[in-house]
Parts: sequence; C-alpha cells; structure tokens
Amino acid sequence: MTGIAIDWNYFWSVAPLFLRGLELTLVLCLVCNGISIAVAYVLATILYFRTPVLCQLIRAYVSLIRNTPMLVQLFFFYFGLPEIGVAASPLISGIIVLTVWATAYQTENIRGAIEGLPPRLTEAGRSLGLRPGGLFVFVIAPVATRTVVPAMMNTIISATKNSALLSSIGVMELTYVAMDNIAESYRSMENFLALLICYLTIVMGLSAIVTLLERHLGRGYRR
Amino acid sequence: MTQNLDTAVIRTIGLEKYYGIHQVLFGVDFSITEGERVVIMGSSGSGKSTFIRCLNGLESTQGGHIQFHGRDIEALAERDWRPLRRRIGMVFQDFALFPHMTVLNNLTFAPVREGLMKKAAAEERALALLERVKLRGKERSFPSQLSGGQQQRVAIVRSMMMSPEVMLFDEPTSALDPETVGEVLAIIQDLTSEGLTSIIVTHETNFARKCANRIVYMDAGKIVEEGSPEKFFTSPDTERARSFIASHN
Repeated sequence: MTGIAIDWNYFWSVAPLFLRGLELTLVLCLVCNGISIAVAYVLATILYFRTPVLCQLIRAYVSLIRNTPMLVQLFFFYFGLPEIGVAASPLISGIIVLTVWATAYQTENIRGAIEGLPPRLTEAGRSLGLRPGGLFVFVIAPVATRTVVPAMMNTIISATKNSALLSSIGVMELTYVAMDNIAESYRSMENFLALLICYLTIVMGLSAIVTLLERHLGRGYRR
Repeated sequence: MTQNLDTAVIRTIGLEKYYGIHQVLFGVDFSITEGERVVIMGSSGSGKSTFIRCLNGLESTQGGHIQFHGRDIEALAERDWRPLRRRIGMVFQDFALFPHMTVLNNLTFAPVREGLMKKAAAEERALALLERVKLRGKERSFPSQLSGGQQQRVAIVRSMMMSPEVMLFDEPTSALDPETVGEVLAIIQDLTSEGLTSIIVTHETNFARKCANRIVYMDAGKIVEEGSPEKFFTSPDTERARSFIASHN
C-alpha cells in the first residue's frame, strides 16, 4: 500500500497560477451571471405582459438552450459560426455562450416565480387602479424576487461550474490552468485538489452572499 | 323593494357570466343608490362573490349590462377600467396586502404612484385612517407581523385611501377567527355609517341585520329575494331563503 503522495512544495508553487485562473473565473462568474440576471428580468417582463411574437421567440430560445448541452452550444458558437463569418476570441465567445446559457435558465426561474404568485396580488393592484407597469415593477417583481432567490442561486452556481467548460476552447480560467499544469508536470493530484478547493471556495462564498440576500429580502415575512 | 333607478350608482341589467361553458350568473338585475348599504347573502357557490367581482371589472361578463352612474361599463378595456376602479374600492376575503411593503407603504403606494396625492398628504391621511381603525403604531409593521383582523383592517383602509364612491366587500370576515370577526365588522359599520355606498357579501347575519339597508339573497346565480333586513329575516318570501336563515341562526 502506498501513502498519499502529495507534493506540497509543488502544490504551493502553482498557487500563483491558480490565483490568476481564479481571477478570470470570478470575472466570468460576475459578468455572465450579472448580465444574465438583468436580461432575464427583461425577458420575464415580456413574457408577463404576453407581448406577441417576442413571447414566442423567447420561449423558443429558452427551449433551445435548456434542451441542448452547453458544451455543444459552445462548440457551435466557437467552431461553427466562424464558417459563416461570425468569429470571436475564446474569452468573448465563452462570455457570450455562458451568458446566453444562464439567461435562459434565469428567465425560466423568474417566469416560474411570477406565475407562482397568488393571483390575488395582481387583483389587489388592479382593484386599486394601478397601471400594469407600476404593478409589475413595484409589486409583482419584488415579491417574485424573494421567492426566486434559491432557484436563481442554483443557476448562478451551475453557471460558475459550467465556466470550466470554457477551458475546452482555450479560455484560461481555473480548469484550463489545472489542465495546462498537468500537461507540463504530470501532477494530477495536486492540480485537481487545488481546482476542487478553488471551486468550493467560490461556491461557498456565493452561498454566503445569497443567504444574506435571502435574509434581507425576507425581512417583511418574518413574524 | 323598489329602487330609484335614476339615482342608481351601480346598476346591472340581465347580467350573465360564464366560466367556460358553465354559467354562474343568470340575468342578474340589481341596483344600489347613493349612501345605501346592501348586504348580499347566499350559500357558497350562489354567485355572490363572482357578481361583485364583475362590478369592478375583475371578471368579464358575457351578457347584460353594468352601469355606473348610468354609463355602460361592462365592455370597457382594461385601461378604461383603471380610473373607475379607484371609484369602486374592493376588499378581499384574504386581505391581499402587498407582503414586501410596510403598512404605511401599502396604504400610500397606490395614491402616490397614480399621482392622486403627494406623499406627505397620503401619509397624513393614512395615519389618520389608521388611528380610526385603531392601528396607529403599526404603520412600520409588515403584513406578516399583524393578525388576520389587523391585516383586514389595513386592507379596508388601503381601499379607503383612494376615496372611493362605492366599496365592495367580498366576504371580509370569512378568513378570520371568530374573535376578530367582530372588530372588522365594527370597522366596516363605522366607515360605512357616514353614507359610503357599500355592497357587502357576508354570511354574518347579525351584522346584516344591524348594518344593512337592504338584503339581497342570491341562489344558483340569481337574485331570488331582496328586501329590508326586518322583512328578510322575519318573513322571507322563498323557501330557499327560509332554510338559509334557519341554518345561519
């Protein structure tokens, strides 16, 4: 039986490389999730108001994204589209695909939360003579936001973990750094351990932020 | 009881309502004059809640007419219903307060948002009304921090903030425990005693006896009897009303 052969000197020597990868992963997480949530609110608003044509287009888009693997979407965008003249750098391609992917899921999360609200809430607003825009922005959306936070959090975590797929088109995020190190040093254990620690740290950090957010949004709901 | 139709605030003529192929209102003729307090009674499923929801456009109708001060309103577009709804307030069975807003914000949001009042004036009026319903001091509370009776009192005040000409109460005490029913009914009685035209759907016979100018009894989507509380509770014309009264005493 052999002991666990972790070379801690090697482990610490690659830490600066991982920190650089971590930085890019965090940027991807922030940018893609931030844009996706903002756009998802716009799309969910269009769905709420049942805007003709746009509604059907949004449903088709959400369906397409949710029913195909993100890796395939990524390859289609990065390797397929250049054949018809649409090309972008690996980083830009990665940001676009990850954002488009997360937006579809976040749209569905918000739509579900809105549809799950008691119809009486809308009726109360209508019976006070509120205009639909004001009712949506100040009543429906905030109340739905409180209920959507856990689902939104799941998508944020999934998007963050899916950013690892961007390594396959050469985006130098965490996973890419690990694979690159392994190719050079053949030290899988140390690199994958570092990778696990980095992703775990990001996700636990996100969970802590969302717990605080839930507490803030739930302040009116506690007795 | 004969109504003076010329002074009717709200009048319905042959009102019909369907849910899909299921008809729930069968040609309802009704009118209410200014300052009148009409209590609508009837067993569950008789169409009384659906009827008053039709009166402020929360339900569409498929036949007949609804008139507000003599003007047909049943076919109005949603945007044209909006200013009317400010004149026809509604209180729901389950309060329907905005859960993320404090009591004060629940009260001031609609009039300020719709440009009917300045924020300071709205807050002043809200606090005066809260005082009247004995909820002063609760203005910073959230709805979940109040009892059912308190929430319903806030919901009543929220409708009153729009200074409606007519108030519709849809079973305002059905979701409350017996101890808090009295406090809500007392508030309704107090607020409507100054001549506010009101239509109240309720099963509370004592309240109907004391507070109503007229009782309307509905059964199977039709008005089958109407009259003064004395007449309705002592010598109803129909067997259906007699058994309803017997079961609620």
